[in-house]
Amino acid sequence: MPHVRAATDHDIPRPRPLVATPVTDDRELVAACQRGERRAMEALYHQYRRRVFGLCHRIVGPVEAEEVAQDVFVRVFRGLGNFRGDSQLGTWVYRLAVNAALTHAGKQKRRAEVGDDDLEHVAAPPAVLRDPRLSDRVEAAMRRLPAGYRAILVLHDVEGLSHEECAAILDCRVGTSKSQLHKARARMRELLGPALAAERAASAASPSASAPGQGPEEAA
Amino acid sequence: MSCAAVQRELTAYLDGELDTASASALRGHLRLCPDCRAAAEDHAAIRDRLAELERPEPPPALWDGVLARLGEAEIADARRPRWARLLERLRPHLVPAGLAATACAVAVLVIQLRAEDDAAPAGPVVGERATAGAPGAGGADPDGAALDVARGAALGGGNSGGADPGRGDRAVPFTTLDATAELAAEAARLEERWRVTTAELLPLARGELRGTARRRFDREVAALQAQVLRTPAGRDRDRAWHALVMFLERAALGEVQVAVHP
Repeated sequence: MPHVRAATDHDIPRPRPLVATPVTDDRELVAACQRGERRAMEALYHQYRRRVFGLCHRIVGPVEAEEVAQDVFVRVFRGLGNFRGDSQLGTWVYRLAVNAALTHAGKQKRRAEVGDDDLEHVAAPPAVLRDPRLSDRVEAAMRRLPAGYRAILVLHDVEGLSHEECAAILDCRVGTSKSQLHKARARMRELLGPALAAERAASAASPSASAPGQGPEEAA
Repeated sequence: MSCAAVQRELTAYLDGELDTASASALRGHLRLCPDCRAAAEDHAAIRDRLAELERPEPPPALWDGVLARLGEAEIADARRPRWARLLERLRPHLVPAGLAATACAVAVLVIQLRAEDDAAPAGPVVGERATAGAPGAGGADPDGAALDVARGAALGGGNSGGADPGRGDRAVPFTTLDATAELAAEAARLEERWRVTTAELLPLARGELRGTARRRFDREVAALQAQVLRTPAGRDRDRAWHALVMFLERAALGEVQVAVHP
């Protein structure tokens, strides 16, 4: 084949569905993507882009998130032929994303340990209720966790998946998912100690401002 | 309820996974124990703050990057030789076949070694009887019927096992019997593998041919198949099978111009 400049994706004709019906379920979407239909590929991308990018962002960090997310979607589209439909499409996409992100995080770890001054960038909060910067500190603390803990926190606490779904994605038992989550939150508490104490003190000072249904005190 | 138990159950409690009674007991403990209460508040704060984290918006260039990389991968596909893509399609069938062949080879080797160790004088007999047993073992059921046929042949045709009055039941060492049977069964398995391989390759090789090319291809295949059937079992038949499979393989890879060289 002669060495010519490759045509851009817009120049490549794509198969079109025989009947132009909107794709309504995952199985149809997968089948259309397997045939290389552009509209279906875009639909699948838009369905998962924020979830995949968010997960990569939180596991590998903001700098390399785009590269890893790109890698995930390439694997998704190239691997759809092997997707047998015995799990949910979402679970399968998440699994590819977690695996890619954890593999990348492993390489990052070998390259350099995360600096200890990460948390120091974020000043200790003044004693105000629901310190807006606590969220920044939570994110910073997350970056200091082992990648496996980050994965379970993102899946369960950020994405709001059940332990059954987390276990399917991480390819572990439900009990393992639960114990990992417990350990991850405990480690977060160690890392966030002073900030959390400040928040506790603030909410003790003005208990009426505490939002109902948020914590263990809801039944008090 | 102890502090240790509370710490253990805290995550399950905060995620609403405890039954009513356990949750009530845990809340009771929290009312009385400031340390555990602090831990529970912290865990709840972490849970809530994580749930409030917003999903970052992916950069607009992400999709373009994905398309560009998919394009590169497709170009790489186009540059890969046709046989590599064919191999990829066949891989699910090839791996089990390869494993089965290896297992057979190992089994035969082990049995031969055992036969040599346990009954050294019987060694040459193994080889002779295997050859004698092979034609009788051409059946479709390599593990059951073929084994019995081979065993019968090894014992001297239609006689039942151990019927030789001079020697009794153990006249022929078991190890020798096993090796003979196994070798005969292996011949049957090999025959079956040739058959399966041919069946897999045939549609791949024939699929894209049309008209005269297809008729010539069919004629050639028929001739090679007839050659297989004409040839008595053994090395010569293996050669005939090999010729057929090689022809199909080359045709499947597009290396044979059937229309030009029928």
